[in-house]
Amino acid sequence: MTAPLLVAEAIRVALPDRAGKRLFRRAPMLPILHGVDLTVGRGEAVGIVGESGSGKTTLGRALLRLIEPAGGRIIFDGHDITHAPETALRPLRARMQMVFQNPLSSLNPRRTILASVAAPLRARGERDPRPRAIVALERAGLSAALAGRYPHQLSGGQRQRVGIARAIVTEPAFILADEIVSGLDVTTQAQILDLLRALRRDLGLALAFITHDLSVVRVLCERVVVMRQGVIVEQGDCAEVFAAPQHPYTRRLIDAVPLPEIDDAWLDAPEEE
Amino acid sequence: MLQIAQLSAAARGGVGVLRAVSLSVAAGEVHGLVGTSGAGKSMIGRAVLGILPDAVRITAGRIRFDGRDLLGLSPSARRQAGRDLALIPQDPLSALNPSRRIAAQMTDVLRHRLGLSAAAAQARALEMLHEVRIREPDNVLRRYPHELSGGMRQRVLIATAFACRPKLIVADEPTTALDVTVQKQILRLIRDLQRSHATAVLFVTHDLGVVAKICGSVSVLRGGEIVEQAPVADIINHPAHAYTRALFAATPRYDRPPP
Repeated sequence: MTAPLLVAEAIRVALPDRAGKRLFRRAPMLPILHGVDLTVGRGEAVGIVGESGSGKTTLGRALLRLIEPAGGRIIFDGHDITHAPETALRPLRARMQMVFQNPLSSLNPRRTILASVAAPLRARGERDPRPRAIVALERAGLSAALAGRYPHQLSGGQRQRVGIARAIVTEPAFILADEIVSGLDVTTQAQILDLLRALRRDLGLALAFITHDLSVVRVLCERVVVMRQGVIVEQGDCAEVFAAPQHPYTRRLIDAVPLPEIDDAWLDAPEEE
Repeated sequence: MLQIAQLSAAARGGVGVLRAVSLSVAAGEVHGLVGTSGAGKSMIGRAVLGILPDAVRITAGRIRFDGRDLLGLSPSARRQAGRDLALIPQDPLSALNPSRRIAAQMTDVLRHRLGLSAAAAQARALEMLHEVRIREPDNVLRRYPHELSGGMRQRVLIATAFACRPKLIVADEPTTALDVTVQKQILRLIRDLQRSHATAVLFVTHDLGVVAKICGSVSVLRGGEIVEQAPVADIINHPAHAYTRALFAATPRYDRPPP
């Protein structure tokens, strides 16, 4: 059996609490993650769900070592990256990429989309990254004819495809996606989910998919991790967790999702605490 | 209560925003406006409230509200009619003034719209915060918007909207920015208040699940046009139009295996 691609053990993260900061003093540290264990297999898609304040975004940032954990261990592809310096991380960065919620703020408005997608390759010293950037754009479902456009000239769905193209251009083994379909219409959302499914199949990508939307997880992921207040309350196979949630919070979360079905009792059901 | 007949609106340059939209909402009924962004669902709500963007003009049609023809009224009569209308917006934070306490913002509206004295407005605000089930309403009145959670802010705006006893409320994606467990509480609150006050609601949403749970009847919009209009059970169980069916097909569900 091959080792999992990503293993996180007992991750603890504390971030500066700006609300508690006093003049001329360092901001006090606020614990965000209280010992989180997570494994992502090669080619596996894991949905990380939770409400605001659950720590799901912080967990994602720790997995990619955008922030350094205060405790625990992160092993990516056999390398312990928990406290690795940026020089040691740099060669691994190409293998672990990310896509953000708002592509308009993560794309440089003054760069053509081709230049944005080529940037990660250029940063690695590739002299002519354009052909590979064009391939990535086409893989993400964007015609090469759009390569010279700027982000503001694209629709929301097209911009999200640019973000995906930029993530896959370095041929990563793992992509972290944080709320990437949240701002989109259902029809555009369905197209982006189809694209991600196709990329997983064709490129063998592993995916950590952070979202507040349980239904989207079911479409895309094999496994789901439910977070609340900095801990994982439940994780398991999607079909099992959604059919028979074990933790009361998971049940409450699932019960709160309005399915497109007539159910007169739904709004009257007493709230589970 | 509300009857919209053949309403058309165009943006500058003649671009159609609404095309011959007709719908009616009875007292105490919740009518859903559903569609993707740009379908015109928010524009209908804005036309009723008289707050269309400057670039958008109504080109044809009528809006009858509580026996009055809203589009034919003088500005002062229009303002008068506006007292029977209220809005619950999508983003409660931008709808509130960040530098004023909740009490001042609620009582301003109540004094202006209902002509209450300062003390009576304060009492009415407190009473409404009780009715929207806010814990420690006295304390909330003294807070600034940023000191409240998103769900609390939305409760404040719902309290303010219902405090003026409007006959019709436009709820424009009122739960889109909220966590799912908070969304359920807010939906229940809107439904309970709307029933107990017999308020008509025009409920704008992109979420077919929300439509199924709170609306009595629905208009499905695409490109400024109503493609289908029916009682909610018909829309959910037997969508007639191909576009409505496509919306359902694109909506993911946690309870079904992926296609």
